Amino acid sequence: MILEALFLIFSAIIFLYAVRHLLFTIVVLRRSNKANEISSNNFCPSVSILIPARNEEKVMGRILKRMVELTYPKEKLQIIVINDGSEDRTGVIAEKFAERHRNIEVVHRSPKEGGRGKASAMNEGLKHAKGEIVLCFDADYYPQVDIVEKLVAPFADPKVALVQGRILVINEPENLLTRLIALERVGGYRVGQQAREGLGLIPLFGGTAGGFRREIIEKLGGLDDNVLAEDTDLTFRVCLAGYRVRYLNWAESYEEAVHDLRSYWHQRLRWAIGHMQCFFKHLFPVIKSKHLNFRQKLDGIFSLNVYFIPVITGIAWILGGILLFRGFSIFNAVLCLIPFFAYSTVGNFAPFFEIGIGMYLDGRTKACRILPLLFPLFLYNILICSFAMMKLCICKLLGKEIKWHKTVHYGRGKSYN
Amino acid sequence: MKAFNVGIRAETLKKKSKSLVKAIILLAFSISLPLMSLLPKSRFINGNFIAYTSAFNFLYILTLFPLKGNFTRKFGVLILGDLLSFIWNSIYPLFLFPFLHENNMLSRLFWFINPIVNAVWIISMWSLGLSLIAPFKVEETAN
Repeated sequence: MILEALFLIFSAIIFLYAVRHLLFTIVVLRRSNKANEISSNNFCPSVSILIPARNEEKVMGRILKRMVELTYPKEKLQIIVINDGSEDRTGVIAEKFAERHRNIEVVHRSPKEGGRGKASAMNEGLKHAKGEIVLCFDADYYPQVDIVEKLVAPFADPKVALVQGRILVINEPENLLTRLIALERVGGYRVGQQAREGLGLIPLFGGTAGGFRREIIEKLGGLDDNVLAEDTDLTFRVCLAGYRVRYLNWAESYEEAVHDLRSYWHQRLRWAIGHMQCFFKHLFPVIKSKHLNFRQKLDGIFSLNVYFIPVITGIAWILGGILLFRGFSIFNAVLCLIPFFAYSTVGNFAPFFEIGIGMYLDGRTKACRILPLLFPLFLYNILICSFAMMKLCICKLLGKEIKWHKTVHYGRGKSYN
Repeated sequence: MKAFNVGIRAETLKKKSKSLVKAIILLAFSISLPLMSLLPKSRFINGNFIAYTSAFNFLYILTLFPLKGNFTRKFGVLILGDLLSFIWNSIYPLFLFPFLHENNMLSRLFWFINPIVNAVWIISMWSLGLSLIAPFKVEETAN
């Protein structure tokens, strides 16, 4: 009876997520026929851009060249490269740019100080930031030239503390995996984040291609370097403090996607562990919060729980199998097959629908032909998230520290068509 | 002027009747499958075929037909999907039935995997339908 109950609970959770995917997609589709950019209204605050970098010699030149090309007034722009204990030429390249451009600064951390994760490097950069608004970009990013103007505009509202722009994949044509990651990104940003923004829910800050109001973040004590997903953590800390997060679909940056399954594993494992840490840290504060309305609380719980869903799906499949093989009674068959059927058609269809509609709205319907190939990647994510949960539990039990695993960038996809 | 107005009215009427015909075709298509389940059972039209084809038709009609694009292409992929469902759910199990007995392990495995396998063709056909639709264009109504 316990197994049956668990199976039904897990199936219900999966079903709720499917409904959420469908709802988000329909909302974005309905509201898509108008461009609603926020005008800056001559709001032009001082801005600091943080670029944390550890062993990024292959991409450092590209991002700094782009920083020089930004159209935001140079006298109001401070660019800080945090050379986080690099053992390659990252620091040398950054110094060369700093010599030629007065608004570029380089903060060097020794190999002993560095390598403790992005949050730690960002906190170091924050000490040197003078701008009212702080934007951050990873070293492999390639933003639009007018991205600062776009990202800064929502800060005219004093309640806005965090802003997130859209992320696209610069090396999409490289191989099948990068193409599939590009599809995932479209679903996540063009539909997921856009729907949260449109419905007044909680868009998630991605820690890059976005920014924050320095004063508020300093008041909150900077970024938490004990959490692997410091961006998600910051999102919830800001919301719990009563401030707003905005998502801007028209502020685009290109990133270099991981190009092999091994790097994909490490990157997603870090994201999954980080999100799970945030779940345990923020679940009850979100439920009890006086600053969030019911819809925001519900969406917050859904977002915090999102990396548990592949695990729940995996367990539900195993439970379904056990129930079915234990005895092929009519009750068992109905019990297993109805949620199975519902999930495999309507439920499993929902994330594909989200991505497909995202591609449609981007005017790239032809790329939808490879959509079914996301199936194996979903299965791979079940493995990654299950492993992440086990690793987190073991580290908690043994009191071990979870180490930051850095994604290696190769400077691929230098031109985007 | 009068002739011009009559021309516009005729055009509107033509458009309305066209969309009415399309709506009737889609409605007939979507309700025909559930109605099939009332027919006496045959080897080819089984519960699996009706269930999965209805699910596909429901999702496809609801999500792709409201999008702008060529009706014939969308309808063509819909029919192709139903045909694939027929082949998958009616013909392929015929080869397996000699091995599937009411209570054996293989039969249970088949019932267990079947919904997942069906989801693969449903998503593939839906993606194919979407890939044939013209790209979306934003109307410039920025404030």
